[in-house]
Amino acid sequence: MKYSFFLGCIAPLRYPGLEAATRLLFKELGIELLDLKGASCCPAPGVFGSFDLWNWLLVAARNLSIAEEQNVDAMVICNGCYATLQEAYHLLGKPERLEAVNKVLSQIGRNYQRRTGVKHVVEVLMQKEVWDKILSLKKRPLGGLKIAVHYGCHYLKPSKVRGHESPETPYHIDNMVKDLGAEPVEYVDKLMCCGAGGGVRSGNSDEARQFTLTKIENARKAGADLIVHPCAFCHFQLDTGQQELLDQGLLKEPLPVILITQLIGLALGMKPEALGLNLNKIPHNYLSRL
Amino acid sequence: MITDIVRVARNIAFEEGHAKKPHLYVAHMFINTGHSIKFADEHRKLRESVNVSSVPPTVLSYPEAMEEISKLTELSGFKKKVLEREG
Repeated sequence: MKYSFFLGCIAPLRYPGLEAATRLLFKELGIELLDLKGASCCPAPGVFGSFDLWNWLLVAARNLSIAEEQNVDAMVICNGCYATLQEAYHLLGKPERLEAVNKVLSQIGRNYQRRTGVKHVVEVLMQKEVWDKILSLKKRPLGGLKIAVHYGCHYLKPSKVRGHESPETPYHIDNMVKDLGAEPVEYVDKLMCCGAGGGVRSGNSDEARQFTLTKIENARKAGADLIVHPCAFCHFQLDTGQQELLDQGLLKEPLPVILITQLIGLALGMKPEALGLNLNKIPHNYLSRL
Repeated sequence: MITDIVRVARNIAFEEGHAKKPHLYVAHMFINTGHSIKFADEHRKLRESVNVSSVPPTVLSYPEAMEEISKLTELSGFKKKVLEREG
């Protein structure tokens, strides 16, 4: 089993612990991650999709063409990258659109035939053989931890394109948390956005932080020790956003956030520093209980 | 879908010259570097601290990839539009 690891922007350039943890986990699982050499920003669906859909589609197709050269699906750890690349793959299912895109790509020496597409890391991990292996490798009990799952908007919607679970009552990551020995907690407005998507963080950061504040307070009220999520961009907003809220005196009790691959790495006994947990702004205080 | 309609409306607004400065900054960053956020020495050090390559194997490591991005944004007309709106 192998995938081409599409890094995006936030993971490699702001939170490299997310990239490191994913690489470590996949090495442990015996799944090869190829470098998607020369990949660019996906490009981000909010800003770039809102400005110019044609340019957005061309850049996405170029990224997909690199993975296709390697004859493997691209794999992402960011819901924004997932939104762009999966939607581009979907849109390019229309032959005349694919032809128009390839007419431009040919001028930079590239071509995309849609032989390979994109997988979210959660889709990769929840394959039965992969998940069974993860469970067989568990070394560190997570019992006693209460975890609030944040799915993130683009992981679930548009549901007709995503096609992997209910966008209103998702459960896959909650089940993963349970299997790893921790307790998933239900909280108010669980499916609420982290606040960053759609260009809101860059365009109106106060508004973005209000979403984050509500999300954190709701998870806190439900007794969560931490938040697990499947997205580098949500990670950025939920971690950096909380630090900003603390600096503004608007938040009293922050909650640490963790990418699903980091949580699995912990359960497999990997060192928190190797998983980059020390690079978070909000400290992982619960680690002393494990 | 409603979001598709909103996105097309936003494309029309951009065509007509409307864009927020912070969003133009993101677009400009992409045109110049291939990523939507900057990469500096402090970020390189962060990468080294978790034992991944100091520069990621993206467009930042491959100048020929950046040439492709640059040409693509010219061919699509995106580069011109962003520069015009930046003034």
